Amino acid sequence: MRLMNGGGPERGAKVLVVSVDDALFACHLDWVEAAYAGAQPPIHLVRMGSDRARPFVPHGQEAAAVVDLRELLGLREALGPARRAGYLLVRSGAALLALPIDACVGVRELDLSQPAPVPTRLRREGGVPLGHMVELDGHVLTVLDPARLLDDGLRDALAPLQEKAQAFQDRQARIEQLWQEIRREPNAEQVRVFARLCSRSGRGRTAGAARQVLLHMDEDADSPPDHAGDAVDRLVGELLRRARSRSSGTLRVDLADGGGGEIVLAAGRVVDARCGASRGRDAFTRLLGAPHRGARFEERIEWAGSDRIAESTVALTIAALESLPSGARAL
Amino acid sequence: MDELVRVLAVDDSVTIRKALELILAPTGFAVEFATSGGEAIDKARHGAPAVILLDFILPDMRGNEVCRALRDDARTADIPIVLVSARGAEIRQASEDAPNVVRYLTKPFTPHEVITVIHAATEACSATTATTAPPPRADAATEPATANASPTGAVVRDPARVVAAIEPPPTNAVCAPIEPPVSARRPPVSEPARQALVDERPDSNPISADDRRSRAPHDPVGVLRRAQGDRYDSTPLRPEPVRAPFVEASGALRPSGFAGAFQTERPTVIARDHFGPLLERLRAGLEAVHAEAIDTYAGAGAEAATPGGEDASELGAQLADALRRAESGSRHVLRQDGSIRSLGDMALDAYRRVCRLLFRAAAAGTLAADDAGDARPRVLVVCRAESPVAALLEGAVRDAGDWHALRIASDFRQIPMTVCLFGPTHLLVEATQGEAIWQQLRILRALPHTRPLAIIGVVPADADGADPSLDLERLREVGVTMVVAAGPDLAGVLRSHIGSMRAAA
Repeated sequence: MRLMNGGGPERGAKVLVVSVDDALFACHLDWVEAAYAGAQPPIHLVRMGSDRARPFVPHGQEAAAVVDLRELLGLREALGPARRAGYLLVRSGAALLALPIDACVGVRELDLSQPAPVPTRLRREGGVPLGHMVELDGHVLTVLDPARLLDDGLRDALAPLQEKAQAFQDRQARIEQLWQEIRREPNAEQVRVFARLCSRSGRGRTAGAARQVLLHMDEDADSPPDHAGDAVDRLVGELLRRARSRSSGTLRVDLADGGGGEIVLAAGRVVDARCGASRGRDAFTRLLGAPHRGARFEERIEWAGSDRIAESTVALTIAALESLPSGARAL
Repeated sequence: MDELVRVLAVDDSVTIRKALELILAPTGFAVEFATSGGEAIDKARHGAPAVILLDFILPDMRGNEVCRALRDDARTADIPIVLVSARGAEIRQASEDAPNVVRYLTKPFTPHEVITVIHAATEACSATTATTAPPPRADAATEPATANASPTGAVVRDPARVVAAIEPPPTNAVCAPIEPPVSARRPPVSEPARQALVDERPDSNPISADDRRSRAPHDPVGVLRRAQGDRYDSTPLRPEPVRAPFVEASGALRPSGFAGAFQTERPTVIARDHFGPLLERLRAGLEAVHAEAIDTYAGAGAEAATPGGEDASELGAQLADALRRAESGSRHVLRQDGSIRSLGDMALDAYRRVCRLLFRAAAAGTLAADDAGDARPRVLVVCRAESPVAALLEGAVRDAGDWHALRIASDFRQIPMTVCLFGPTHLLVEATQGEAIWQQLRILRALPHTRPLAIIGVVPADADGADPSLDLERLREVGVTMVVAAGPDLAGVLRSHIGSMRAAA
């Protein structure tokens, strides 16, 4: 679908034309903050009431509430939810909205001196129309007034979103900071906070992996684990015990299928791993996830090879456990 | 450590409750809320608040009834009550027979007023009973306590607030009324700093450098994709020159001059040109319309009925003042209460108020029907471009002249949205078209607000009941109430039918 610019001098203003359910909508470019393709922005959910969650798109320091035009026009029940190709971020008063769109048709220089626009019958507070409609090049175009997109009820409902989304983003930033610290020089407190924040941010797998590692970080360094975990857990325990005692050597793992692998530690850090043909992180993850019969540690004073793995053992183990299927990593 | 002063705020408006929470919680009060009179009485009996902020109009009771119930109960008789309402006359009346009412607060209120009146109420009560809780933390009590209180204890209304009584709800109903004035958040502005604030000059467009825009542009290079022409371009978004809200307002207010919203001249010039005549028309049209039926953003009517023409005149003066300041290069205004407001915000506020006035004028029938935009039939034509009746339908719409008409020739999935937005009174449908249109018509039938919509089918002039493409049963099923043959006088026939339908309606 194309909207052609008419000839003659450009006297109008620029609007961004988008398509939703085959209907064309235009928004003055001054109010457009961004247009995202569907897969680009991370979509998060915040719980707004007892059982309702509202998706939002993080944009800079703000959160744009995802509000479908079907919802704004009261068509949600009749038409159902829609799968859209992108998001148009527009400012509506103090709120930033992410309108799901099917396509970005283009920027049009809109001069409304000739076609007379008709105010929409749908009105907002004060009787102000939601926008104006005009027929251009054989298409009906609705020029939205962004400030009037929300009715009072929805605006009130969205009011807590910014705060909740900000808290969410703060948690994300803190999680990222903690992760970097855990990768360098981890301690139990960092991992505990990391697990808690991940849990509150909907990252249950990461939180579970971190808590599993935390169990072994809290143990006394010199005593063997006193709980009877499964094979994965025992291997993790052995690994973290060696990491705590800053051991150097090779942890040889006998796999249930008759094969084997090894994890090389240098001063408590995992520097390499081997499992079949794979090496490094991939081999480490495979060793943790594969059924195995046992593991034995062979001390060695020096490690002469090159380090394939550069992060801390704790971070490596959390990442590996997170990527394992839930059945393989369960305690 | 000081014990927090317990405040019970009673209001059925979530906006007001949120506003009070944001005002009081950071300033050292422990706020509890009730949404009805019954709940308030119950909480007052069991919670023993130091003061009650009581909205006068509640879902189940009037404020004076709540006051009476509290006064009659020994457990709550001594709790001082601050009556909160936009209806000053009524709360004064209520105060005469309610001795436990110690202060009044008139909506809309400022944070400073709320804190002041609570302090005054608690201090008055402690002076008589010496049993109330200690005052809140010192940082909340730095404001002078007598700013808006008269010697008799009644709140003196700021003359400027009489105008504000018709102020419409702000776009963000939570944020706008509760934003504390600058004076409540920071020490008094020194004279040089004050001058700097008032005379702060922007680099270019004075109004466009509104707060909203100054913090808004975020330019995530590589993430943001902006459409240019008919294709996506990865060029990052560049901040566009921002138009003043005046310009937006002028467009929205003048349907026939909607292009004003998209002009590129200096906005102040446009605003002056557009607002003067418009406000003059409004003023004339609103002379007989009074403000008492108009809600304030606090949800109640204005205290006194004021002629709408006066509102329009005052608004005109306010706009002219804002324009003068904008032209002189100022971006902000230091107001009498010490708060600073951007001209952009002021203009937006004025815009909303003009819209409200316009709505009132239209509702009162004092504006021309064209301004109201509702008097003419709204006709949505759904017909393929290649249809045999397309040309005739187009001609009929053109000849009809006074219709608001829009045409959909393809992409029929848009019909529900377009109907919802356009709100047509009549739908002219190519009746020989098949499932693509009918499916959307079925959806329309399921929408409650489109049920009054009259759907007229149009068939070629030579079609008759035996035409296999004309399935009358199916047409009836999808809501078509009438089928018209597209003859040479289609316009006249449609005009006649639509006219009679409207008359019947």
